[in-house]
Amino acid sequence: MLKPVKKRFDITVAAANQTVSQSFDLDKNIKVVHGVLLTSNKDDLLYYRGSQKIEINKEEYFPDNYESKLLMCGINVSPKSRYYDLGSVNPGNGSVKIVYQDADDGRTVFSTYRVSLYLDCEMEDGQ
Amino acid sequence: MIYEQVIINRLVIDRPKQVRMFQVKLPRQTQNVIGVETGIRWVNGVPVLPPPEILPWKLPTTIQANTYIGDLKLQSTETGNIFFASDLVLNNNNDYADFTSQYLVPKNYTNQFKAEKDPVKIGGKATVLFGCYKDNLADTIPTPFKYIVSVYVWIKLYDNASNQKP
Repeated sequence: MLKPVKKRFDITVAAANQTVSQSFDLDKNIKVVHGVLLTSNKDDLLYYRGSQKIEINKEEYFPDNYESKLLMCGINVSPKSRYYDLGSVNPGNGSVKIVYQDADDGRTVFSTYRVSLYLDCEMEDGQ
Repeated sequence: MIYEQVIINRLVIDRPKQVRMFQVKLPRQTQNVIGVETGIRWVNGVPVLPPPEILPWKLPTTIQANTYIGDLKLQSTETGNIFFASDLVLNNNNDYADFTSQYLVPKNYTNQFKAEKDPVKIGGKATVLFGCYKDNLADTIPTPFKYIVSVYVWIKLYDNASNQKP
C-alpha cells in the first residue's frame, strides 16, 4: 500500500550571485513523486532573485533559469493545493538534483538565506 | 512516450519603448504548444511604489493603478496565428479588501496565488514561434531602467518523432 509523504531538502545560499548545486537521495521505498514546492526563510529573496534547474532520476523537469517564484505558493492558496503538479513521476534511483542560481534584483539586498525544496511523494508501506 | 518540456527565452530590455522581436525554436518532436508563462527580473531602475498608508489602519478598498511594464505577443505560422497576447504588470493591489492586512501586509511573495501557465493549444508542426515584446514602462518612469523578461513556452512532445508522430 502506498501512503503519502512529504520530503524536504535544504540548500544554503551564502553569497550573492552564487550557484548552488546539490544532490539528494530519496528513500528507497518512495515509489512516486507527485509535486514540488519551493520555500525559503527569506521569501522575498527567493521570489525575486532565484531560479533553478531540478532533475529527478537524471531527468530534467525544470530547466536552467526557471524562476523560483513559479514554484512558490502564497498563503492565499489552500495548503492541499500548494505543490506544483508533476503528475506521477517514477523516482527511479531516487536521485534529486537542484542547481540553484541566485541573481541580483533591484528590489532586494542580499543576505544569506535558505532554500527548501519540498517533494510530495508516495512511499511503500512495509506493513 | 509523451512528455512536457519548457523552453525559456530571456529578453533584456534597457531602452525606453524598446520593441524586441524574438523567435522560439521548437523541437521537431513537438506535438503541441500547451502553455505560456511570463516573468520579470529587475536589473536597475525599479519603479518606486507609493509609500504605504500610515496609521490609523482602515480596510483597503481603494484600487491602486497597477504598474504597466509592457506587452507580449506570440505568433505561430500555423492557423493559430497570434495565439497569445498578454500585459506584464506589477500588482499593486495585494491588500485590496484584505482585513488581515492590518497585521500582515500582503506582498507578492507572501500572498501570491498558485503560479499556473496560461493554457494554449497550438499545433507543433511549425518549427518556430515568433514573439514581440514592447516596453511601456517608459510611460511610468522617465529615468533609465533595465530589466529581463522571461518567456516560458510549455510544449508537449514525443520522445521519438519518427515512429510515433501521427
